[in-house]
Amino acid sequence: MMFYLFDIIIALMTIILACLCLFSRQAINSITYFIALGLIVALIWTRLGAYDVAIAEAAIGSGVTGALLLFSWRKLRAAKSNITLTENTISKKVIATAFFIVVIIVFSLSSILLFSKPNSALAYLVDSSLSDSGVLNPVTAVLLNFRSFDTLLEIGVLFLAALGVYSIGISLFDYELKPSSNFLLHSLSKLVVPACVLFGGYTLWVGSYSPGGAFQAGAVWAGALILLRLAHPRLLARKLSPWLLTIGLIVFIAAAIATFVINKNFLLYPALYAGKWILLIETAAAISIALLLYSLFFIPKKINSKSAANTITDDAGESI
Amino acid sequence: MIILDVLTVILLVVGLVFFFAGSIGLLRFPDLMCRVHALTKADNIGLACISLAVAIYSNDWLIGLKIIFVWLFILATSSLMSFIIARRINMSNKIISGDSR
Repeated sequence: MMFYLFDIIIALMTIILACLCLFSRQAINSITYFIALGLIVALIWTRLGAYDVAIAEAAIGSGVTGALLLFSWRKLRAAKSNITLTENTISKKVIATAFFIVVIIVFSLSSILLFSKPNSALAYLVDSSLSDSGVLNPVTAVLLNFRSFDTLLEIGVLFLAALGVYSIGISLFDYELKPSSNFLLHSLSKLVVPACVLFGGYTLWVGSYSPGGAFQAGAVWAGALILLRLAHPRLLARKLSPWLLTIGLIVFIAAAIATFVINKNFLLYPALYAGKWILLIETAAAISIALLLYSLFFIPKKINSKSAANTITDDAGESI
Repeated sequence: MIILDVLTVILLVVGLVFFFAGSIGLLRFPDLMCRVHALTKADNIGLACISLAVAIYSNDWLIGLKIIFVWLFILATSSLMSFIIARRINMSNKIISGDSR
């Protein structure tokens, strides 16, 4: 009973925060509501028992995306002195229609949820063949064994996103930080970065038998990298190799080809070593995800344009 | 067992009181400095009480230790974040009068 009350409260808060996020006039308010919305959605995932998704939602959906939005807001504010979102020109008919559609979707979804059996055939299928997958965590088994083709394409999409970022080549964080501007940030990075590296590795390793995995580890490592870069701007400047960004995709495709050669089937792992294949792919994917999320904030400028090449003197640091 | 349960409830209530006070301070205090002050001080103590309560309730020293570690990390990061926010306020005082309600 108590938990139902809690569920109703967070469900209502989600809807209210989403409305506030969409309809507030100031961009900064929308961003704040969006970050709060991400945390509430992470709470929902926790209540559903999907701790993997909750970690990813809190770290990527709320943390990284929120920080990106804040950086863009700062950029926009520097460009124009005052930004307000455009006036709500949506007519009431559109709103009424949208509301009607949402009601229909909610009604049909809830009726499906109410009248369908909780133990669907799919869950049974996953449970019954979990022992063949090489891992004990059903989420990892689905993501990296049963439906690994989907995950391969997801890593591909991430790689495309990185390509897009590189080709646009706008660093959101291009103003120079003074190296010794903040000694407290230095001491925090000494405390937190090793813990982040350790926790990311732990999440990656533990993903085979309990919640965790490549995306969570990548998010934690990206956070560590971003903090390190903020605390020591010169330490990580222009040493990000594009090869490391693509290593997840490369290893995944190599695994697909190798499994095709061995087993005559894409991504059908050898039965005895399935767990090791999965761990290898996940490690590579985690490195790529971490560097991708990091590169959304700090892009080595040398790659993108000829004009930037004039300003950069230490080409030796670049490792393409 | 009953003593531990009572201790858990007491710590939870105390923690909630601190969170409540911090939230009221965030909403009602006039400027950003006061708000940061209210939020970080009250919330850190509130979080300490609640994580202690959860650590006691978990009845497992390993889980309890993990929760205490979580609290220590949040303590370090949130106090540092409040320091950074306060420093920004100090650097650009115009934000205080411009953006607050």
